[in-house]
Amino acid sequence: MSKSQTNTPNDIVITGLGMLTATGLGLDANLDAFNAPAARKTQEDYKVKGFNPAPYLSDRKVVKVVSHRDVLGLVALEECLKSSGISAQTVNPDRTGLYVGAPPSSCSDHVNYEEGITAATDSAGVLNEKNFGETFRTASPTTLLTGLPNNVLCYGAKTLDARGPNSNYTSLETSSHMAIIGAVRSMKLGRLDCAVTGGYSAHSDRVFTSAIKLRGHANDVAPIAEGAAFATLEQRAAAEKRGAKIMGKIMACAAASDAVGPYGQIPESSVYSDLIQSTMSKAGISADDVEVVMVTGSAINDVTATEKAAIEKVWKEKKKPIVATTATRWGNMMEAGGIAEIGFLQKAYAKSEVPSSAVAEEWKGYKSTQEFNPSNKVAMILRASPYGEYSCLVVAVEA
Amino acid sequence: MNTTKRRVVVTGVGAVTPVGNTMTETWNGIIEGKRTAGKVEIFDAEKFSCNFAYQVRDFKLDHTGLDEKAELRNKSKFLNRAGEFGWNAAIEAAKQANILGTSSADPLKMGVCLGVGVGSPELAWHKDVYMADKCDTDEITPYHRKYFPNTLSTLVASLIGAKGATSTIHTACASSGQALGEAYEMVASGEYDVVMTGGADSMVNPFQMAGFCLLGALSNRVSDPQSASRPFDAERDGFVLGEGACMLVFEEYEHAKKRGATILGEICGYGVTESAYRITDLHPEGRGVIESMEMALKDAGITADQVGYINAHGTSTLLNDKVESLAISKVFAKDKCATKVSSTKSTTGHLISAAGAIEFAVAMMSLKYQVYPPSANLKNQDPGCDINLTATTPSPMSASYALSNSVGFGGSNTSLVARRV
Repeated sequence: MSKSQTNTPNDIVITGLGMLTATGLGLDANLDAFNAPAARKTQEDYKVKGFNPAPYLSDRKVVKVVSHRDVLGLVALEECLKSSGISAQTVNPDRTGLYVGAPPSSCSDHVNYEEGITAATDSAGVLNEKNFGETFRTASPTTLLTGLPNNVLCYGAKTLDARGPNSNYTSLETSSHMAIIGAVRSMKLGRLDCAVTGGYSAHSDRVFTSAIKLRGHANDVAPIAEGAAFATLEQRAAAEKRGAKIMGKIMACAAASDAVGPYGQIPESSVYSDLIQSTMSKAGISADDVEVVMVTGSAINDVTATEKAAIEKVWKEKKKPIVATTATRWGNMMEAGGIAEIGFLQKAYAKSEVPSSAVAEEWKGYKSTQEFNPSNKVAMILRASPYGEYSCLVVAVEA
Repeated sequence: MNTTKRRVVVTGVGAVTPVGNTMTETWNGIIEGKRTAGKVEIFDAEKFSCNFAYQVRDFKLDHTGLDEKAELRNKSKFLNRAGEFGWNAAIEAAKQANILGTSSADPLKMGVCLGVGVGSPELAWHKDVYMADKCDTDEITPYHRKYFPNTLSTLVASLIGAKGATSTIHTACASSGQALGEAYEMVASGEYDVVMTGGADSMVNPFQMAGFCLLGALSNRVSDPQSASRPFDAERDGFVLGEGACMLVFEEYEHAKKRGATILGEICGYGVTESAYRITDLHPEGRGVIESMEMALKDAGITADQVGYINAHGTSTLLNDKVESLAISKVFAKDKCATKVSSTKSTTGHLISAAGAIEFAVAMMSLKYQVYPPSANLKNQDPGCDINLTATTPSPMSASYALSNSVGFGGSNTSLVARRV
């Protein structure tokens, strides 16, 4: 019996998922997108627009004091709580925690000051910084708070009454996996019984999208997407006791870095492949056991090259897995990526079918989706950022 | 926490603060009760309701020891002001721990875990580039490199050749307290042998000072900036912004001994909670702060009466100091504990995301030198803050354990326990 099939009461299992993207609210709506032609083409298409969050939030007033990106995170978080069947009334507050992957602040957080900046600018267009010391007062008193990167952690904890260990990571594409790693560590150290982990993102700020274009990155495969995804983690014994549906178990998770700073991938480096190897080792599996690998699929050339090099190094002559990415439909979810792939995998295993629409052009040389023959249900979710930061999550999918 | 955790010691520490540009200068300045608050010099803040801060002065980016690493020197240009402080502090800590560049440690068992603040562009840049919608220019990429929080983390990893996880945390004023706690767990759990941890921040800029002024969180004692940061004093009226960085090298005890590293102290307990209450306000009964301290004591395997000193979060705001005092008095009952408390924000100002790191370092140094840091600026203790404060001058200590608290906007609370080695 493979390790993936050996369940123990201490397994850390996934018992719910919540998700919101431009495609829609909820996992099903987002998974259906893989059975339809690509519907979005431009950066604008990947923004969550016209969505009324009020019906999905316990505290509707919160939308007035947080940013658009926070609203996405809070909606997905609340959908996750519903999906897993937990609430402030059912959890032990001191043993429940939130671990969140969050985007950093952006220029759009300062728009409230623009009236003050304009007022401090003379007719010749010269800004008088000194005068801004008076004119900024036209901004809302809570402007600073609206831009905080830990708002979802704060308001989400309040919603769930989660008072236990927590954290908030701002590591771009690897953020949500850092959240899982932190939560799993806390659970294994015996500090937490239940963790809600995930990420949210809305790098729709024109500064960010311009920067991506300026770097000459292909922007037609995976535009920067707005969205959020959260998952609930519990120990198997507790989940089974309360009759929760179990979507899968986390066999191992870890992160690594090329240690080179911004825009510093080293495709020929062994760090990423070593990370994959060591994470598989922790999970007690070998490369042959992995049936599907979900890659970042950001379409950023250096990142893709690095992911390819790592996979080539690990699998070499061995039986290659299917390599897929949700980015073909969801876009590059940045901090929110790497979580809802669990739902993607669960559906793929339930239907014994990996949608071919999830295999981007550059990954078509690997095992074909038509050859998908599920046996041990072990899959891997990888994340890589242009900062040379990598993460790896090995999951055993359960129906 | 499980009982098989490994011992985690500190083998390097570096700091850049308004009190000094090294850890030694900072420690000496704190013990002397040095107060450097003054008018903001970084930008023209004359018309702000609070126009003063604790600022880092005479700062120069450190490249010593990187002579063979031109690429690294070149990449330091991607750092913003806070990042530059963090860079220097990391170099100082790495040199002390003898891990700058290369070390005998396994790179994959070395990590980085930092608490980093929210970056903010210059006012003129925001007006001339962002507001003018001139984002399709080459100014964008440098901006991004400078203001993404993981720029510092990945560059610090490059300084020490760490190939493990680079973790970047933001939980407002609890950021680096949380980073230290997670770094401790990374080593204690056996995942890592060496982790560079700490924090860096500078919110002394027009956008962030405006934000704090709008919230009414800053002291308005413009006539006497040097005595404005007065934690637990009856006449406190808000906090004073500071800036800086502090980095520490956390290392597994046997690993440190084996390679002959100097051990400065030990971290042996971590508590972390969420108040789950309001974004800015502490729960009036100290919920969250109490549990954080209790969790840290339990993790350290000690009782409250064993703790000789608490470096409090002590911001000098009316609410924080009152609630934190209440929480401390509940955990460290005065009739049972001789624990003394101070907040060194009276001499450093509030370093926001870097506060937890420098304050843990101070707590550790106080054990090392057996000295209670003074409660500078304390003239008249608020009767609502019923705790044993340290004297206004440094006094001798006889203790083996110290605790450092951090409390952040958003409700995250951390407590770290240091042990004398």
